[in-house]
Order: sequence, then structure tokens, then C-alpha cells
Amino acid sequence: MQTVTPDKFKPATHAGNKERVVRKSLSYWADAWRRLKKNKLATFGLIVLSLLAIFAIIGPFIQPYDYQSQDYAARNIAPGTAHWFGTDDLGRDQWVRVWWGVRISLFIGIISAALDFTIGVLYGGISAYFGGRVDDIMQRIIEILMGLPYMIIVILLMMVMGPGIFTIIVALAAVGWVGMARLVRGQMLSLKEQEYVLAARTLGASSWRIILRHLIPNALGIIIINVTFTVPGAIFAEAFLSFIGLGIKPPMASLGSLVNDGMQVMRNYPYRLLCPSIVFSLIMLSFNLLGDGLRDALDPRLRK
Amino acid sequence: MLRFILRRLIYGVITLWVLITLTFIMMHNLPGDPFANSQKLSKEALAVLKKTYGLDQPIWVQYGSYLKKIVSFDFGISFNYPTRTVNEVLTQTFPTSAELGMYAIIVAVLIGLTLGVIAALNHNKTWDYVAMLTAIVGVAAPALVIGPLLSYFIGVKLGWLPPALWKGPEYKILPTITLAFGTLATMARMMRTSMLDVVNQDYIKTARSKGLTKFAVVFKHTIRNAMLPIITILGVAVVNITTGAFVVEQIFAVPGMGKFFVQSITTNDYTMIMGMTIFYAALLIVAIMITDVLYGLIDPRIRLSKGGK
Repeated sequence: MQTVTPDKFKPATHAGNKERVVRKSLSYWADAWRRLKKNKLATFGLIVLSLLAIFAIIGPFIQPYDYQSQDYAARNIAPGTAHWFGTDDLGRDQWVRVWWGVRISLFIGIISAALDFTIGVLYGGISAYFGGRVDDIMQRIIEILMGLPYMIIVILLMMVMGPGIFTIIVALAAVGWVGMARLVRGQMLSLKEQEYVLAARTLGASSWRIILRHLIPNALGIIIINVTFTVPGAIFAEAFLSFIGLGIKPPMASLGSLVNDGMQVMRNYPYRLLCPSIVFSLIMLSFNLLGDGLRDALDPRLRK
Repeated sequence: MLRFILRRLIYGVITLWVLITLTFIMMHNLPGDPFANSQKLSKEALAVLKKTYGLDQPIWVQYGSYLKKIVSFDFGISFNYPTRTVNEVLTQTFPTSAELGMYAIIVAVLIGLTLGVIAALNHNKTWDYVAMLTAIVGVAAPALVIGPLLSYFIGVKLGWLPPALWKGPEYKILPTITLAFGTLATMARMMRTSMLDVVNQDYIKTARSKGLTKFAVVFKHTIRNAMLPIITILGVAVVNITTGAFVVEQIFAVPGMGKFFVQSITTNDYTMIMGMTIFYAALLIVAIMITDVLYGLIDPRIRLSKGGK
């Protein structure tokens, strides 16, 4: 119980600067970062992702093997001190192969997302900026492309271009930008009509200032959220393609092809299925948790 | 309303045409020769073969006859197995895939929606966490991870269910779960969010203050309105389940279209791939179209904003 003493009722003194804001004012990004840090699942995702990235960088080199040299004396060895994730039926070290797979996954995920972002922002931006006829035609094209089943087109493209990291990235980018373009256009169109843009224009701000200081920063949050979900999407697509034999060319390892190989021999050598599966799940999990966290942190509509 | 449906229909036809043309162009730029596996052919025999398949004619003539055939649902003969027509293979393998897909959709929708509703009604309690955990596992472990794991642990280790093949009813459980899981998780998640959204609406408060029973409020007001956004992802769900079947049928050795499609890809079976791609695409385009129209029918706001002008 709090005791109430008479000195609590003394009139306030007028000394000092009353107008001073005690707490530092937070920028949008600092605020988002603060909220992201408070989200336990997102922080977990971020930590796991950093660990995976570190292992992807150094993992293949802390063991004295490479991804393709075969050692017939060391075939199908269970995980142990010499081979941490065991070896496959050609005597290749699984630890090294799994981390090479992660390297490829992360590389493809990040590059595809960057390409999606670039093409999508350009297409959506141009469409929204010019409006009218141009916008109409560009939107009709998008509507047709949206109806095409994504995976089937990627498979067709992969068949024409042949397997490989580069062709996967091209195929994914060729199909993946549509959603981003739609999102950017929608954002730009709705932001353009906001009162604060009108206010800025009334105050005499130039078009460039409005685009750089008002439109882009306000659309960026939602665009970033979309990008964080594009990355695991691309990683999944690569694993899917490699799984059905259209992705990464052997002897290079991909998580998809490792899972497929492991599946064939899982009765006798279950570790060959388990190691790549668990690592792949961790990648997908951490990206999705981080994406969810970012959505909660960046999307102003979800703020309470 | 009629205008809206017509508009969607026209878009569907254009999309299909774009896809058919794309398939044609791509197939003509493919690396690898369909006759590469039979090297002992003489030049004359090769010429005869090319003539029977129409490969000696200029490309636009080929395109014309190709279009004509597609319109009459004639997808031609397999390049690798001259005794098999594409239609034959489709009629043989499609029922299996359709059966598997149907089970998966039903399981995903029923269990997913139930889980979502239970989670929302028990917001921040045990059931909510169970549902959210399922949703997280669903995105973290796609079919190509969860399939082999289920096959290994439940099929091989525990021996409860057969780890592969497609014979009796017990063979169908694991492939169905694998194929349904991702969509089930998405459904549960969407339904939960949508329910929580609706619960805070004013008309729910009104319904409660009118003195309606909890049952009536939940079933008649909340669930019915919360279902609306779910319909938009039904099309996506059908697409995901269809393409997911490529992997699932491979994992569990199900003799369906997906397995055959992947096989045709590895053997460069041109006509087979073309026929199957177009069949798949037509299926999916129609599925997307139907959900679009359905959504327009149910929610007038969509139809007015999209098709009104």
C-alpha cells in the first residue's frame, strides 16, 4: 500500500525545461528493430539464420574434404569423428556436401529475391507512375502472367536452359517478379493519394523529394516483408527442382538432391536422409520466423 | 455479374493460349534430340521418322497443326514409346493423381479450418499454440522433407503403415498426409487470423448483445464471415497440391501423373511433356478461374472493384 504524504500535493516548480522530451525519438527503423528484438521467435530465426550463414561460409573448409572427391575406402560411414555427417555410397563427405548445399540454397534465395525486387519495383513503379494507357497494358500482361502456374513454367524453363545455378536463378526471376510488381504498384497508387503527400506538395516539395522521402520509405516496409518471404520461396523452388532432377548438376550437392539420394537409401543409412532434411528445415523455419517477425515489426497496420 | 464471369473466362482462354504457345516455343529450343537414344538409325530412317512426326515442315506449319490438334484434345503420340498416345497415359494416370489430390484437399481443408477455428476460439491457450506449431512445421518441412521422414519413421521404423506404393486404403494414408500438410498448415493459419479479425468486428458485438447463444454467434456469424478470405487461397491450394504431387508421387512410388511427368522430363519425351504441361496448366487455370468467380459471387465488393469498370 502506498502512503500518501502531504508533500505529494505541493505545486510543481516551473524551473527547468518542461517541453524537453525525455525519451529519444525513435525513427521508423529503430522502432521496428526494437520491436523485432522483443519478438522471441523472430530473434531465434535471426540467430539460427546467422549460424547457418556462418557454417555455409566456413563449413566446407573446416573438414579436409571437398564435395566431389570420392574415397572408396570410406563408403557409407556413419556419422562420427572423421566424417561428422557420415559419407555417401561414393565415399564423399556428407558434412561438406550439406554445407555446399546450404551455400547454394542461400545464394539462390538471396540473388532471386534481389532480382524479383529489382524487376518488380521497376515494373510496378513504371506502371503506377505513368498510369493511363501504359498502366492498363502493363496490368493486362500481369493478369495473364498471374494465371500461369508458377512451378510448371519454371520446370519448362529449366528444361530449355538445362540444369545449373545460373539457369535456376534466371528461371525463378523470370516468373517470380509478378507478385512484387503488383504489390509495388498497389502501394504506390494508394500512397500517392495520401494526405501527407498532398501536404508535402502544398508545402512546395518537389516530385523527387516526395518520391524519395515519402513514397519509397513508406512502401519499403511492405516490400521488405515480401522479400523475406521470397527468399525461402526461391530456396524451396531450388530444392524442389533438384529433387525431381532438374536443378543442380551433379556432382555438386544441393539440399534437394541430397534429400532425394538419402531417401533411396534410408532403410540402411538413415543419417543420409536426416542430416540434409534437418538442415533444410532449419533454413525454411528461420526465414519464415524472421519474415513473420518483420511483418509484425514493419507493418504499420498491425501496430497496436 | 455476367460481365465479370465473361471477363474471367476471356482471361483464362488468353492465359491458356499464351501457355500453349510458350510450351511450343520452348519445346523447339530444347537441348537433346528425342531420337538420340536410338543411334543406330540410318539417315533415311531418321528422315522417315521426322516426317511421321512432322518435324521436317517449317515451324509455323508445325505450330498451326499443333494448335489444331490441341483444340481437338489430340496431344499426339509419345516420342519414346510409339505405341502410347499421350491421351492414353493421361487417362491411365490421371485418376490416381486426382484421387490422391482429392483426399489431400479434403484433409487439408477440413482439418486446417477446424484447427484454425479451435485456435482462434482458444486464443493464447494450449490449442492455439498447437495450431500455430502445426503451421510453423508446415512451412518449415515441405513435402520433400516430411514425405521421406514419414515414410522412414512410420513406414520403415514403426511399420504401422506401408512406406510406399499405392494398393489398398492403408497405402493411401501417408501420401495424403504428406501432400495435405503444407496446405493444411496454411489453411489453419489463415483461418485463425481471419477468425480473430472477425471476432473484433462490431456485428459480432451486436450479435452477442442481442443475446444470441455462443453457438449461434460462432457458427452463424464468425465462421461464415471468416471463411471468405479462405476461398481466395483455395485456388492457390489446388495449384500447390497439384505440383506438390510431382514430389509426393515420386517419394511414395504412386503411379500417378506427377511421377510420369517427372519421368518424361528425364527421358526428353517431348510430346508427352507438352501434352502433360498443357493438361496441368489447363487444370490449374480453370481452378484459379473458378475460385475467382466463386469469390466474386460470394463477396460483391470484389466483383464491383475488379470487374465493374
